[in-house]
Amino acid sequence: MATAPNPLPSAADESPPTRGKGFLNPYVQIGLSTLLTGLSHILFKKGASGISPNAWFGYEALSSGWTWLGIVATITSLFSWLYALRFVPLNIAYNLTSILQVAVPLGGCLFFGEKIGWLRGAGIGLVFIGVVLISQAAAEAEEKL
Amino acid sequence: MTPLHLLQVFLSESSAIAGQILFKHAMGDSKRNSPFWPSLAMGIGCMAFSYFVWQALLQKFQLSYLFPFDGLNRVLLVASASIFLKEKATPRLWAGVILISSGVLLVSGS
Repeated sequence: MATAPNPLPSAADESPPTRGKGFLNPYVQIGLSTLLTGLSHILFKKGASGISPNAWFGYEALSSGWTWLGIVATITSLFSWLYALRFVPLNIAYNLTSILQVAVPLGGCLFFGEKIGWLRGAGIGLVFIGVVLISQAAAEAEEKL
Repeated sequence: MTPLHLLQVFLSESSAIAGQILFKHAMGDSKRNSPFWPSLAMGIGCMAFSYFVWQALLQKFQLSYLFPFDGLNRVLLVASASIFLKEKATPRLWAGVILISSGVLLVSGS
C-alpha cells in the first residue's frame, strides 16, 4: 500500500534535505524572517500600551488587535526561520539578522527624518562591518559544504 | 532601569536563546536529523515565555531603548550553539559578533 511522503524530518530520513532556490533559498528566507520580526517588534510595542505599569508578565496585551497582528507576523516569520535553520548553522543565521540593527535606525532617518548622531552612526557602522564579516564566515561555511 | 528590570531582560533573552537552540535542534542539519515535535514544542514554550516578559518590559520602556539588549545576546547565542549544537565558531564569526555587540552598545549609549 502506498503511503504519503512525510514532510517533517524524522530519524528514518537518511538523505540530506534538498535546498531550494530563488524564494526558497534559505538566505532569502532569513531576510524575510528578519523583516517580519522587525515588523512584529513595532506591532507589539503598539499593543503593549494596555499593560498595567507594574506588570511582570504582559498577557494583558492580548486584548489589543495590534498584538494579534504582531503574533501573526511572528508565526509567519517562524516558518521562514525554521526552514532556513534546516540548511544554515544557527550561529550564522541568527547573527545575519543583526542587519535589522542597521536597517531600523536608517529607516527612521530616511522615512521619519530622525537624526543620527555620531555615536549612533559609529555603532551602526560597527554592526554593519560585523554583519559583513559574518556573511564572509557564512560564505566560508558554504564552500566547505 | 532597576536590577529587577535587568533580571526581566535577562530572563527574556536567555529563554529566547534556549528557544533558538531548541528550534535548531528540531530542524537538525544537512547531516543529521533530530526529534521534531518535542524540540519544536519546547522551543515555542521558551519563545512564548520570552515574549510575555518582553511585553511587560515594552510597557515600561521605549522600543528604541530596549531593542539594543536584543542585540547583546549574540555572544551568548554563539557560545550556546558551540556548546549544545557543536557548531563551529570561526575567528571571523567571533570578530563579527564582537563588532555587532560593540556597535549595539554604542547605539544604546547614544
